[in-house]
Amino acid sequence: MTRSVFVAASLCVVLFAPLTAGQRAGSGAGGLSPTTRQELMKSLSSGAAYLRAQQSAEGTFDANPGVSAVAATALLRQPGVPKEMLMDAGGKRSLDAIVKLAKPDGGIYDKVIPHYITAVSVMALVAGGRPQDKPLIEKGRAYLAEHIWDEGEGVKPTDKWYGGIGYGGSDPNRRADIISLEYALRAMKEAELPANDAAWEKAIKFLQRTQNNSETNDQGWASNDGGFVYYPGFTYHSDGGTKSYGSATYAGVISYAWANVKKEDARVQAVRKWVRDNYTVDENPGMGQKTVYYYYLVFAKALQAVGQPVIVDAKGRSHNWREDLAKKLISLQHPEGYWVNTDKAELQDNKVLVTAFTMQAMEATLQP
Amino acid sequence: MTTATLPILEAAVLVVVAPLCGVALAGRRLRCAAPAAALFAAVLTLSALWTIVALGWSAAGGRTLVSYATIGTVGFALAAVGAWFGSVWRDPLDAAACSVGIAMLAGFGIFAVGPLAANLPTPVVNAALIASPIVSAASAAGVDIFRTDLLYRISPLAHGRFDYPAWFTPLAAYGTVLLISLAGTARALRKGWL
Repeated sequence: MTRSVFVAASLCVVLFAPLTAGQRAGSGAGGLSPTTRQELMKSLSSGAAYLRAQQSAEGTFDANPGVSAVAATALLRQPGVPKEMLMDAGGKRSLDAIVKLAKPDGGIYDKVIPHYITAVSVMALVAGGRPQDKPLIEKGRAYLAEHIWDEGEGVKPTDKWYGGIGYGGSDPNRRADIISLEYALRAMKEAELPANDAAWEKAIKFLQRTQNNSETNDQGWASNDGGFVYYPGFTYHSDGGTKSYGSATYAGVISYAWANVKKEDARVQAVRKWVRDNYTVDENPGMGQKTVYYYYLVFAKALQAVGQPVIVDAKGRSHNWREDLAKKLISLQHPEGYWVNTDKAELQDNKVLVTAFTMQAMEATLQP
Repeated sequence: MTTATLPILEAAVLVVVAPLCGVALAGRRLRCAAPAAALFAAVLTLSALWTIVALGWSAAGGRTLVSYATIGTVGFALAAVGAWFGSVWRDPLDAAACSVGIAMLAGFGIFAVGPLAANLPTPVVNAALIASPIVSAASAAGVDIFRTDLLYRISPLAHGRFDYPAWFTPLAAYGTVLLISLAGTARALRKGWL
């Protein structure tokens, strides 16, 4: 396919998709207004063009397997563009590059942080939807499920790390964190790990122990704001202590959803209270601008997954989160099409990674 | 400590001990250098064998060998630096202070800079990682040292972009240091500076 045909097709999507999509969901019902939707599609298209221009001939982005997989996923899920076009516009090359990283044990990584890279690689392969990648997807999800800390590694259910997952590799220290777990659970969910797999229940144990909810958390440090910390007893909140912060909390919300915990469950109700008390699209609550684009990603995916179109905050004000987030993300886009964070922590000075995060947040915002 | 962290601990010890040994050997005009080198090689071989037996050849054999090759090269190189300085300076204390200081800067500098590391350009960080025997030994052993719990919490490095050195880069770098230091030592001894 020539570049001009692809550009023309993308233009059609930008112009016509909002018209049909606007009929499905109006802003009054907590969806996006037709105007915002149209702007969002335009913004997505511009972000996708920026990303495609960064792809190497081998199909990778930034010579980094993690960044490559996140970017590939964002591009392969670009709404309104036929999958065939997405595959021809670099999608196939991306997937082929990912496939080359597959290891005999089911992991898909190069050298470091194997759990994280496997999770994002599985998500990219799922987004690609090629039949020949199915065995790798199944092995990848099994690899992630097996690497959740449990009795197999000598971790007892009473251990605070039980049910968690860390970066992996030859790290001699046992550790886990909610962000790594969220990635792993998201990959397992997208790869359709059966709902009755024991890994989900184990993960719930770790999630409970990471939540500031003393009714269900058996750790002595737990308070009752309902949000989440990085791992049991440790937070990245700028005030220190064990205060909950934004990205960890939305990672917790979405992880409960992936792990099939019901909306009516007390743990979910507790975290919903935190969401109401700390609603914002201006920063990552408790961390300022640090990792704010990952915050946007889990914010969108979490609220979309729990099916809550309007958030009523602690002051009683109603927020259409889709509209708020869409406008915020559109306003943050640079004229060249990319997004980048002013705070460089966690590689958020990397335009490709941040653009891919943002596009995935937008894609979740567009879903009903 | 676990078996996987043994090479890291040994590299950290070598950063201090190897230059001191080099200075001491230079004080004896390298008369005991051959037995000392043989003893060091024997200790490393035993340690590597013990690690391979504990972890299993299929799980960690190749990584362990590379890791100990790195430690061996680093040990000889830092001892040679100590010997060079010991053969040039009249006062062995000056030689010891200088050689250990340089070795510690290379070994621990990247850990010691703390929050400043967040603002260093990636190529500078990568060069510092190659220079550090501790990072090199860990990387060769397959240990992601900056994402171990403590360092991940306190060092900004793990939260930014960096690349661990390929296994042959520190070997080549410290091999070069070894050759230069040996040449410098030989020249100093020939000139009778000691």
